[in-house]
Amino acid sequence: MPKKINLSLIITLVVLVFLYLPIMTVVGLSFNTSSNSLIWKGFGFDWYQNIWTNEPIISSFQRTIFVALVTTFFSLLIGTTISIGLNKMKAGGFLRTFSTAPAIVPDLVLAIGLLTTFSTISLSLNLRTVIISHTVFCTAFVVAIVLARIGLMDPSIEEASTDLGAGPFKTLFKVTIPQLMPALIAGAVLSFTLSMDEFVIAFFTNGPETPTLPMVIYSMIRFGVTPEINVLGTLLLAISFVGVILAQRIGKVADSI
Amino acid sequence: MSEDLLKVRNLTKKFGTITALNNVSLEIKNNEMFALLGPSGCGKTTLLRIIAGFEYPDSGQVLINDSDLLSIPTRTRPVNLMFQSYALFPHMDIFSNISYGLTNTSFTKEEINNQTNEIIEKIGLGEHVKKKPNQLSGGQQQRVALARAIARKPKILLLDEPLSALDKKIRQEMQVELKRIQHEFGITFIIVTHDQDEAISLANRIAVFDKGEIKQISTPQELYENPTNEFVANFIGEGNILKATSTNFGFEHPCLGKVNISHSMGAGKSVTILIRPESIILSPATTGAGQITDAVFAGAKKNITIKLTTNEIVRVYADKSANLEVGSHVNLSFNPQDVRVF
Repeated sequence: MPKKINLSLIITLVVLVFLYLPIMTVVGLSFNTSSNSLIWKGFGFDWYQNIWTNEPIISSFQRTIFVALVTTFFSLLIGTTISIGLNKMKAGGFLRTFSTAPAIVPDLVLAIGLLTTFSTISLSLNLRTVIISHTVFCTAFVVAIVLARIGLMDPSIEEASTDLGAGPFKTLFKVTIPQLMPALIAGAVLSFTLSMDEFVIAFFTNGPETPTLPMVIYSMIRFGVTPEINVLGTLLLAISFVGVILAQRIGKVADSI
Repeated sequence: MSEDLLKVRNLTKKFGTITALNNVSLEIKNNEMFALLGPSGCGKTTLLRIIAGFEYPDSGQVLINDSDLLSIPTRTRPVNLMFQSYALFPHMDIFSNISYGLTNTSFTKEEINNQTNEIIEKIGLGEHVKKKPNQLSGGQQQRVALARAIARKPKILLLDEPLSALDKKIRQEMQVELKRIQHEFGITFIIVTHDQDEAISLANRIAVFDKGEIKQISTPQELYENPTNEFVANFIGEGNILKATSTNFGFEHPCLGKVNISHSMGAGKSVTILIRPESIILSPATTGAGQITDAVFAGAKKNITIKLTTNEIVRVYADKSANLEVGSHVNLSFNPQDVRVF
């Protein structure tokens, strides 16, 4: 009897290759020592060393991290506040939908809207406007995550805190927020990674003097894929990857308490 | 100071078109175990939440030691609530859970530790202080909830369905434990429950609620023996409720005949009568008032179900040795004193 072909295994492999081949190509070619990224010359870390001397790349990388950190802070602050407020409201279906909508609105629409708003109120375009713009859509993601978690919370737990004599602030910081920790960590990691590699909105709302890393990559790529781009892509991937793994680990710890 | 610790006066609370409490009044004495009993949605939980401070009535008064309770903010009321879900803080260990209420007082750290340790010892949670709530069993979690709620030494402890989440064996253990703690700490307990067994086994007095109104307030025994209305008769214990017609000396029922009782409601009115299953004596007959449709052995007794010729169903506890077979015809007799008429 001929050996049976495992069809589902083949499909799985094909899909996995389809999903990860492009990413693995970037990672693989980042270790190419050739100055033409399409010709393999040898394995080495040459371009990783080179990149630290490339001032425009390094400063844009710093800007990107700065924008991502500040965006994460404000998205968490605003998103958590909105979620706690919405959870207290009995009828808030309309508001709930609108608080999470910026997460689904096409980036291009959001970018045009933000640009129009900034020029209407004559706000000059720089990193500040990028942070405001990123906070708009990252907040929506934070609300979606925190609201889901807060809905699972036993409402009597906050009542118990009040019953035992705690004021609203103590209840918030000692009871509510510790319980939301896993959601807050997930929201923070998501905000950070979304902001870090965001291009379209940053492209529309940033000024010319302070390009972020995705913008610099875009301007470089017009002259072809250079080895630096592969290195930067790999670094971005590594940061996102570490972030997600950290979030999962901390989330697990937070969930078990 | 009067003997009554808590007075509820003409309390009314509506949620939209639903009346949760309709002009409810009751008094609860110092050191009493008082139960609010009724089916779900009868308003008992609303009353509990008003006393705790999570709801505010539309009208009426609640007095504690003759002073207004409703004007005291929730967090400083001399009342604590043991939640049905326990509502323990999952991220804190048992010690922190129990001491939480004390950290909201002016006690020093040392006083808080001493008082918390004292309660932990009295409730028997010593080996668990460092654990988190999800590492404890249901019964242990309940003890923590109880310890946390009495840590502030409230005048009144409110218990929302305290035994409903426990299995039968732990329930009995916890019943004894609740009584012991109530006695030891001298706190008045108000228990909300839909379970008549829970109310009867725990409470000194019970208020039976239905549709936002109190139907009767009395001791468990009195509620069982002398219910004042059909709802209480039906809700407390097992009972046979039959439709009859009043006579000048009592009532008349097609299967039971004319029965004379001590008081009359006037002739010719349709009345409801209550006879408890243990009050009925069965005697075999060729063409009786009813026919046995079911006979179940239940240890010390036999549970007999009878269908009367009026199609009414009557349950009777008979002696286990009684020769009563399914299908046989029987007559029913009873002592007129054991019958209640509404």
